[in-house]
Amino acid sequence: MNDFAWLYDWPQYIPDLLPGLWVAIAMTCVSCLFGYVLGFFLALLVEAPSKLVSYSALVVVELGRGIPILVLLFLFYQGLPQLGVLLAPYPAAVAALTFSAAGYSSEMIRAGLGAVPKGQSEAANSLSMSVVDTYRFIVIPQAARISIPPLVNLTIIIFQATSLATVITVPEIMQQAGIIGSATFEYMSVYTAAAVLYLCITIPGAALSGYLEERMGTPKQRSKKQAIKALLPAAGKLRTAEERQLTN
Amino acid sequence: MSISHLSPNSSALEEGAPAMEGSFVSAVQLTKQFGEHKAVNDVSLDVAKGEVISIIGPSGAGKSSLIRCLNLLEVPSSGRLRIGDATVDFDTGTPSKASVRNLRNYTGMVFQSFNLFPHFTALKNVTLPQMRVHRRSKAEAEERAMQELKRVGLESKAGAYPAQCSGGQQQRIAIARALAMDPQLMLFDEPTSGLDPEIGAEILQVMRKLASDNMTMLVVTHEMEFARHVSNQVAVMVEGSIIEQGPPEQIMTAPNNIRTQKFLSAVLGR
Repeated sequence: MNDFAWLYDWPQYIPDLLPGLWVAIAMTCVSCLFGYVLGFFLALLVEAPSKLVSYSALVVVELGRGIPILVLLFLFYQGLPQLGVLLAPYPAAVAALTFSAAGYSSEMIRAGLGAVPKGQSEAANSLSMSVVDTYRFIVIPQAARISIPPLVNLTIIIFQATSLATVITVPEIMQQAGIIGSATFEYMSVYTAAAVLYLCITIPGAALSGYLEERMGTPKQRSKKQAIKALLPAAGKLRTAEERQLTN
Repeated sequence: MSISHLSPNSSALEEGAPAMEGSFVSAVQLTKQFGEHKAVNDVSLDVAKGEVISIIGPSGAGKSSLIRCLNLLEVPSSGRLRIGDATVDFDTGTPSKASVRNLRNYTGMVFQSFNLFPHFTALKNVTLPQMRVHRRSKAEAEERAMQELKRVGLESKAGAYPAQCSGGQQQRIAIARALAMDPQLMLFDEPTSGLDPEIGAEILQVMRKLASDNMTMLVVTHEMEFARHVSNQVAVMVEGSIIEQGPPEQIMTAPNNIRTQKFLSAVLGR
């Protein structure tokens, strides 16, 4: 019987893990914010006309994407002190996650920028709009529609990756769960509670990403989707909702 | 090969045209090279104020490249270009940003694929460039936009997004967007090629009206009727060069160049 106690036992550990959840959320927010801004500039640099600039940026991107986050964590926390750079656990974790987020996001942002038809910036040019205005009003808003859904997915992945920061003693969910587990030996219950906490964020996150993907399609794509839905009788309700939206 | 001319029947000349060497646009020995290929090969062209020139010729002849050179969407590899008071010399390296802007301010362009901004309504498509480039206030820009949309017969579509408009409507909105910037030279790059003939006719109608309002226009087109009846001059382009230029009646009925004859017999079916 005892073997199944964890099935109803685990909720009692949630309150003890909540401080860890806030740490994980804070780490995700900070590293994604910095990471995506960095990723945006890396994307622009990769597209720069100078080969030197472009290749250097590409090297940074590939390092960010290619090195596992666990390795980055150890490099920043245990490796850098050897070079005289001493980082506390939390900044080290944020640096590692930021680096990885920058690498992945820059390719997503670059794909978004690249998917905006060339005719759009040509039209803006032909109207004498400046390069900055062309990006600000024409290219970036259209690229965002393409880039934001994958960026939301990446945010979910980064949130899950914060669990790795336990290895460098950041007091996030897993760190807390480990401490409680070793004191109570209720590993099954406490890690179940941890898993549930992660799911509380990731499942709504995935739903948001799916919604945005639907929402942010260009009007043309939207009508294509509508056409497909029109063929499926079960989607009748959805269709009218979208039609209402379109006519608004 | 340089063909200069002064249009004899351009009424705008007597009116308000600046007294600069007679022509409003003067391209001298423009060449645009893509790698080894010369898309535009040593083309010289003069356009008087109020004149409408149709550029015809087989596809791949460099017609689009030529008019894209005139607003510097393609920067020519060599040659000189003057529009109004703005002059750019391409023999002396890449032109400065300021000189590009000066030159572009004279021109408006209409594309084959419309290139409306899909995330803005028709009205915002027309107001945003005015507000950003000419620093017009929102009210001012909107008033002007409605004027131009009315001119192309689409004031009722002001609130619509491009995806909610037909191809012909989108192209008319694109024309309104260009006109609201006060261009003195309108460049049309096959404006009706992406549309079916019936819809194309409504675009040509708008262009006719523009021509009769004395707008200076350069039109790359396959519409021989338009070339014949609306333009003052027809230029025939083959393999990057203008091989023949003259009044439409002469080009259409009695072309001098054997390749013009070949091209016309192919498109006119005679």
